[in-house]
Amino acid sequence: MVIRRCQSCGHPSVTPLPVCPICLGDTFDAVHQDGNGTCLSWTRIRRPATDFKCAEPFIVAVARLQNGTLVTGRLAQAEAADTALEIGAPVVVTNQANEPPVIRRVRPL
Amino acid sequence: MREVCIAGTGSTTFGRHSAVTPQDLAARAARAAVLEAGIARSDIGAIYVGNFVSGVLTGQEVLAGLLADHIGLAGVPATKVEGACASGGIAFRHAVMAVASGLCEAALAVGTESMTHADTATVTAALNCAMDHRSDGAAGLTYPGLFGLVWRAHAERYGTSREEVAAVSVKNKRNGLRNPLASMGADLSLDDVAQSKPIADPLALYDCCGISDGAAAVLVTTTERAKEAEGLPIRVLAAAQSSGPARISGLDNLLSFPATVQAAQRAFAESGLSPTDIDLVELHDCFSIAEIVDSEDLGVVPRGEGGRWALDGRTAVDGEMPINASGGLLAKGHPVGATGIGQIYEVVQQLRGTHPNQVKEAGIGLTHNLGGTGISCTVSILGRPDV
Ligand SMILES: [Zn+2]
Repeated sequence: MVIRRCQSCGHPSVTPLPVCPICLGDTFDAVHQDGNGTCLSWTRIRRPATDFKCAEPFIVAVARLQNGTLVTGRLAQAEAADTALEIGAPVVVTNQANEPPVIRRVRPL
Repeated sequence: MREVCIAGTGSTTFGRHSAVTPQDLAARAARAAVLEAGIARSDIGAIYVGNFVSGVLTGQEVLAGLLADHIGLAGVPATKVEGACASGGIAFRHAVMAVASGLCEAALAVGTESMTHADTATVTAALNCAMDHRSDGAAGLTYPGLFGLVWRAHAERYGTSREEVAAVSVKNKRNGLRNPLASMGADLSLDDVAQSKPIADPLALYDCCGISDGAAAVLVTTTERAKEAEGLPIRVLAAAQSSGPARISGLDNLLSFPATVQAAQRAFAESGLSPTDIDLVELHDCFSIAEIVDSEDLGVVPRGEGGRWALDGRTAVDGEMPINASGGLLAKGHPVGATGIGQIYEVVQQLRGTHPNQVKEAGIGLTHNLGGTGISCTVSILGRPDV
């Protein structure tokens, strides 16, 4: 996944913010990282807002990346029909410009 | 700063007010508060209106100016404040500051909202305006979804059970049956809650507050002037406000909202009180699990034990820490901008000893109003004058 890192203090952010909340720096680098983390929690959205109506129901999860950062994302569509996602289970997060992050399960071989 | 009292209160019922505009609801509540306070309108030097979604859902803005016009106070500075579901609490704090600072002798705080005319998906989208559209909102998260996430994390960390969470809904829905302002009271079993329609797993329908219309108002003034009021004046011991992380990625975990913790700390510091001094709490139970987390964040229940306390009856109206004796948002419904003032209204009636679901020997009460994904919060502490 791609995250932004403040050029002045190195603070990482998944959300593109205008100013670094730590040092008020306003220049950032795009940094690639592997997106490995664990599932912190998840929910199945059965009553979405108007913009998301076509997709119902879908799963929104929160992952904790290895650097401690929390990321809110959508569970990959193909996996959404599966049963429970376990808290603490390994996941991988990917993101693309102007798209919300996508979270996938890492399955044991 | 001068000491401030609540001299007048007013509230419409919370529920369905078909075809009544938010400014008309506000005028009804404000009229009652002004009349009860028994003070001349010329003494009112400021109006603050809490409202969250009137622009999106009704196409009407400038509610504060409209209210001033409707109650014959054109000319008085009238300000609408918005802080998502904490808009009402924020309006209250600003009215208190206006009087405490000496800028005016009396100020009116009103909260109002009209929502029931819109369908659920439209209301959900309107409420989602309080999410950061670049993060949580973009992923399709909703507010029931947020609290579904919180629930699972709380259950994982503290072993909170389905029964314990449902106990909050059962308690608040029953409390609501005794409150004529609440239209969503019900006598439910733990099973009724658990078996209701799933909304955002593990949240089900009866874990969620209802979409509602309504308005509430309080008139605040100096202790001196409050003596002329019809009802017992109630002292404002603290009116604290905070802001918090704008998105889930700003949280350390899903077990606590830092804005609540901070607002509570400020309110206790301001009043010189501690959680053990509080006789009753009206807190932001937008969802059953929210009451559990809020009660722990406020420090009125030990961390991790909110569910246990609800199931054991310790937060019932006759328990050691009565929470939401009014029925809360779960039974009153949640006309978002009105809720914070509605909570103040309920606590004032409790401290006067005139509440329809009265807490015994209520001397000091606390209200907690939380907005967005924990981005805004107010905590107020009110006291009977003889306590
Ligand atoms: Zn920085």
